[in-house]
Amino acid sequence: MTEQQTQTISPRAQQLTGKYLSFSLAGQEYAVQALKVREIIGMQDITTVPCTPDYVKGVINLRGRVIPVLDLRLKMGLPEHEHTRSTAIIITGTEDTETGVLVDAVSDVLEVSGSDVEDPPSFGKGIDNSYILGLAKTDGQVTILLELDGMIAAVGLSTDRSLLQ
Amino acid sequence: MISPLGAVNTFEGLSAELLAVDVSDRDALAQIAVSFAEALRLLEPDSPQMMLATLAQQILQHIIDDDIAEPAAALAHLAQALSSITRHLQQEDDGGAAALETAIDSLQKLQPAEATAPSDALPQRVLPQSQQLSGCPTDASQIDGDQELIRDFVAEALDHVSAAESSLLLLEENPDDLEQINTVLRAFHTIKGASSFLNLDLIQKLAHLSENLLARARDGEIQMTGPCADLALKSCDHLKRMISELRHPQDASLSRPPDGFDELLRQLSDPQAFSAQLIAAVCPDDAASTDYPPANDQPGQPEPPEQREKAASFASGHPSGPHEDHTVRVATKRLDDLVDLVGELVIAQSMITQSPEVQQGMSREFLRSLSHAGKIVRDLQDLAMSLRMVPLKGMFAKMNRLARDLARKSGKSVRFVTSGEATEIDRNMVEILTDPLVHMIRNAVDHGLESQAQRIERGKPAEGTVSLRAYHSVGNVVIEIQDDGRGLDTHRILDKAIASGKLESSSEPANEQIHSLIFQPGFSTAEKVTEVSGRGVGLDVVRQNIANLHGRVQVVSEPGRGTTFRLYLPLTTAIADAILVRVGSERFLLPTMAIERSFCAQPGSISHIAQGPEMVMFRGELLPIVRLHRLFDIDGTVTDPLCALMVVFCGGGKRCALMIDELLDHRQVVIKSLDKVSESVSGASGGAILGDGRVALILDADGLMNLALQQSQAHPVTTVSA
Repeated sequence: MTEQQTQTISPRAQQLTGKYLSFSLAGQEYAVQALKVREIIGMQDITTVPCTPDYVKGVINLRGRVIPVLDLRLKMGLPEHEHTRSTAIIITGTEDTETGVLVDAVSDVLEVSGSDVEDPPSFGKGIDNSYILGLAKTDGQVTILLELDGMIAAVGLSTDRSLLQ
Repeated sequence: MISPLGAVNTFEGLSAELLAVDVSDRDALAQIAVSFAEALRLLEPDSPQMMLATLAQQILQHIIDDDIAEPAAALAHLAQALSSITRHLQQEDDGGAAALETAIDSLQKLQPAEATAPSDALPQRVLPQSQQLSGCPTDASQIDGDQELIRDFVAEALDHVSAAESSLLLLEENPDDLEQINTVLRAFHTIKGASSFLNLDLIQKLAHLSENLLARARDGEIQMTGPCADLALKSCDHLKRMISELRHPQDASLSRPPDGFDELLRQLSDPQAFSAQLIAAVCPDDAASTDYPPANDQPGQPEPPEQREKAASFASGHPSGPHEDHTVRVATKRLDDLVDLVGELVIAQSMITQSPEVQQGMSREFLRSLSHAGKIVRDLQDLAMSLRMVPLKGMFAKMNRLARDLARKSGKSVRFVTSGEATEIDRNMVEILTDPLVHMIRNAVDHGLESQAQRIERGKPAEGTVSLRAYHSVGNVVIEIQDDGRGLDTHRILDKAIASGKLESSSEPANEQIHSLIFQPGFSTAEKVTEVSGRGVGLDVVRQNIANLHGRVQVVSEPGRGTTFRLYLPLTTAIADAILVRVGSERFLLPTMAIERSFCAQPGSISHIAQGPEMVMFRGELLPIVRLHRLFDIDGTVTDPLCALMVVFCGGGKRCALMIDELLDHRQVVIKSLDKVSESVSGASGGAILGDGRVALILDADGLMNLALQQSQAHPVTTVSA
């Protein structure tokens, strides 16, 4: 029975098994695949860029490179929060698509086994859960596994023309 | 003993070409004349064939010069004469000889009266001429004048040759790799182009023939393995040697073809003969090959190692020429990293200097060391930045020269206009840009502009105009090549694309799609391949190189009006001279070039025009006011236009008065593209890192004004509506 269960989820489980970097956002734990994380830096001075969606906080200087920073709270529809000492920027993406993601605090590196991951539940109409890889149950806690690449690419970070109209 | 098979094929080919060619097509005739001069080398001196051939060559020259009564008939006679040469070569019997004599007679009758020369004078007349056509007319004075161009050419061409070489080696393992074939083709094509405008005829000739060989490989006629690969590699060796020799123009060797050169040219120009030899080499049992046993197939076969040795000994024999620049080519990535790191160093340095601990009570000795270190860091930054930037002036001068030479070659009268020579671009970008520009100028002059007669017929000025412009625009350096010629023929491109299977015949693509077809490798609408263009390699080079720079190419063409190619190049590597300004707590950079002056508005000079924007009168001119704080939603700024500072900011042909709080500083900044943030950030052309490590936006007047306009339409200015 157990064997059968593992078999049915095995391709997805294989994909999801691995190390994750977890962080907190408005009291909830989230995690992204550790392989996708380039580095974690503390809060920086962010220069705002006009005519971009509000969740694009602006740009920072990362050792001479100008990279955009997204506020994950705003992106996920959570209220904005005052930056604290634990506020961190997770740098993700490839060399050409480096992007910073603003989170409340970085927590831990988790070892997640694919068999512990459940498919994201459907929240009904109007709620987009396509960037949620799944829900991982670790130590009795639920961690939401996020797919940042897709989220950033879908944002496109492009100029929000609607702001101009 | 020269193998007659090559000669037979060559003359047969020439004869066919003469029959096919249109008498009024001077270019084609000139092309045949060049091949003809080449073919003369295949004949034995003082033989009857040689006599006939030299005579034929003269007649051909007369036809080209237009001093023969019936050119069409003369062409037919020529073709006949050439086929009698082939017959004679094949049979070597008396019947052939008789035919030869009749042909000589008929040709002599064709000679214009004043040009008829005694037949014993023929060989002397012919010799210099044939050298002129196929040999090297690079006289020393010209070389001296173009020393700088030649030096650039040598460096670039050698790079191309080594690229071609390594691709050829890869090809030998995987002969169907089209990408490699195209790489080699591009290399030969580019060398051909550059050498032709530097008048290095020997090199050009060799590159042209090598390109022919590769084009056959691309079309699947031959495989770049075995003897063919040897041949191509041998061409590379020769090219390399001849190009290296250019560094030492005083060497007499320049004016004459190097050893083995004729041999190679013959093999290259005789692809049929050579492939016949190939077949012979591949299947020695073939009956047709018995006369040409494989042992004789590649007379040049033992040569390559010897030549490589020569080339090597040559290189080591001249470790440093008198004018040689010692340059090192460095990967762009490393240079970028260097500049970024130096920028960081400057920031780190200023953080140390400004830290309170250092400011208070440090010893004078320490402060002196600190300022010394600061100076070194600044020098280092200047150096790092200057490492990469060069104005386009040099490249534009090259293009000017190219356009003039091409115009002369094609018999068109061309006015070449340039602007924006002072625009600076990355040194490495210049190198990558040169080839695309050469191809585009070539296209503009050769294909774009009509002949003088056609232009007059269409009511255009007889003199064609090709303009080359460079400017900064919304985050890009734009290089624009414009001609006022015939424009792209979309129908022909479409037909060709459908014929070659690049498009479905049922599809109805938009104009832009059709225009983008011309960048496909191997795509050409030209009916014949000429020395200048037509093989469909040129625009492939453009596409490839611009893509390598992460830029894009835009084609705008209007039938009968002309074509414009715009190269949009990224700013990532560019440096701007900018003024730092403060608006509230935010700081922005304004490009110095875009600032005319700053002023304080006088009471009474500000007006609102009905629902329109606020305007300020300055020196008799009404300028729209752009309130940065309102545009970018910045708090805590001066909001009274009379108290704020106005900057006359211009761009895209428009001007405005930009309202700011304060001018802070003038500095040079490394422009960082905001591509990653957004496809196009309105109002900002880029970002730059300031001394404290923060990023400041570089504002762009054109975008800013559009933004202000859009905003005022969406939310009319409050002061007006209130």
